[in-house]
Amino acid sequence: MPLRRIFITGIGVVSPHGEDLNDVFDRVFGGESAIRKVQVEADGSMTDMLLAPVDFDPDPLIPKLRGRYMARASKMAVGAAHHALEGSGLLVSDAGPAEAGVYMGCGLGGADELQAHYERYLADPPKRLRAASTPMVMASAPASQISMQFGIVGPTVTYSIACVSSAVAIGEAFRAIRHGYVDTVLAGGTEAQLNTGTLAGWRELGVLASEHSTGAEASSRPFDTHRTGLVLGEGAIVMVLESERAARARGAEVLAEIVGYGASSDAYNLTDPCADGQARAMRSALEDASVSPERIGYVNAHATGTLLGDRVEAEAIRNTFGSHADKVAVSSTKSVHGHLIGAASALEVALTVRMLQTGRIAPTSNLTDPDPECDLDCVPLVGRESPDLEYALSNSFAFGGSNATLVLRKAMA
Amino acid sequence: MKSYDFLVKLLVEEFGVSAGELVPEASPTGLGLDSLSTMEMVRELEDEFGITFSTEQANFTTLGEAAALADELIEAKGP
Repeated sequence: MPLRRIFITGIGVVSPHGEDLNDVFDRVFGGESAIRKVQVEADGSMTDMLLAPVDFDPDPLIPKLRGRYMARASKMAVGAAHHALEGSGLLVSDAGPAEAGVYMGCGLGGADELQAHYERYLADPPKRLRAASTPMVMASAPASQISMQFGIVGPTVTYSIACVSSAVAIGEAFRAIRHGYVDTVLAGGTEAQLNTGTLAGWRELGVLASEHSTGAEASSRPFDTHRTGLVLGEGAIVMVLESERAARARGAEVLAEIVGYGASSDAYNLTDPCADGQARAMRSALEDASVSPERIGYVNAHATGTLLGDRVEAEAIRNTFGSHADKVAVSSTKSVHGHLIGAASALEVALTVRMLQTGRIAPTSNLTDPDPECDLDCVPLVGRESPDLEYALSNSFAFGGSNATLVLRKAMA
Repeated sequence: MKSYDFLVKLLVEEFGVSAGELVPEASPTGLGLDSLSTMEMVRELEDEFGITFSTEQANFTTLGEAAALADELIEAKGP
């Protein structure tokens, strides 16, 4: 019996570039950066940090009474889910498809509320704690809030796997539909960990980019010889995944098709990546899709702009694609939107969908001096017309060595 | 009733309840508050006036009742 096909029929974004996916893609394609220098409190004084923050107003979608119990990651997730449901035509009287599932990725949950809780707890004298802190902080809160906001009673599932959280959420949603557990899933990711305490931790790790001589916007430089690290971002992206039968029954517009998913572990190091593990995920995804590497026209790389990470991924891509590695276009859109951690994969899948729809491949911005150790066609600086683009890969690789790859196909008539 | 005035202000400003709905006969459930929100409302009242509701007292059914109980506790506490 042939496997069920899974279509993406709606995408909602709350991203550093805005909340209209078509407009967001045009900006990304045009190399417009959402990375800015932001003043952040650190050790009692203010310091500059390079970030890709989101300008999000939860009004009027989220009433105050409900918003009191939602950390930022939840609020953005509900906003993105609303856009996705609206775009897909599945929002009816402010409710979504009741029998759907909600599969979300989230790295740190309600990090802002966790910080506020510890600030109250550790204050001298201690301040009154909030009863609601615990259910606000949990990583599963965004998925639950989406379910509650839209009356969705299917399974709510959350994957917290650092930078692959939303790739796995989308991939597992794909499998759940494929194997008939559910027909429709709201799948994606959310991350809001730009609170001062979390940022202090990231600064200590020594992986953040320093400001480029030409400014903040030029500081995320995946695959460039002079890359200095990653830039943190935030946001929420939710997409509607439907079985072919469900989508066709209601005449849904198909944005793209998910055809394969592969996941693996490096079993290597807590922070350093491993090319073998990454290649394993890519090969697994291609086998799952029954698509040979030669048919892939584009890879949306994980590449965050760290010296080691980008080089290892380039090696993994070369190992996976063999001689076709010289021909496949590879770009990292993190060059303009930063690294959204638990929401990264979802944003990058959303942008890859637009590339398949428009036949236009977004560039790796700021790639003025390609690193010879990343010996691939990394689409430097300028977006590319690619009308024959049919299949694309989206890579995500995480601390702890978790790897996930999705294979996407252009919507066919 | 000073407790009642405090509750009205709290519910409008912090809980987004519309002022028009706030009458002494209103119940927390009727105003859209669930058990968590009602608990938070009581905690704010306790904090503001330095009083403590017993478990039994916390089972009030209307705003008016909650405020009257609070006023009694404030009175009993003394200056």
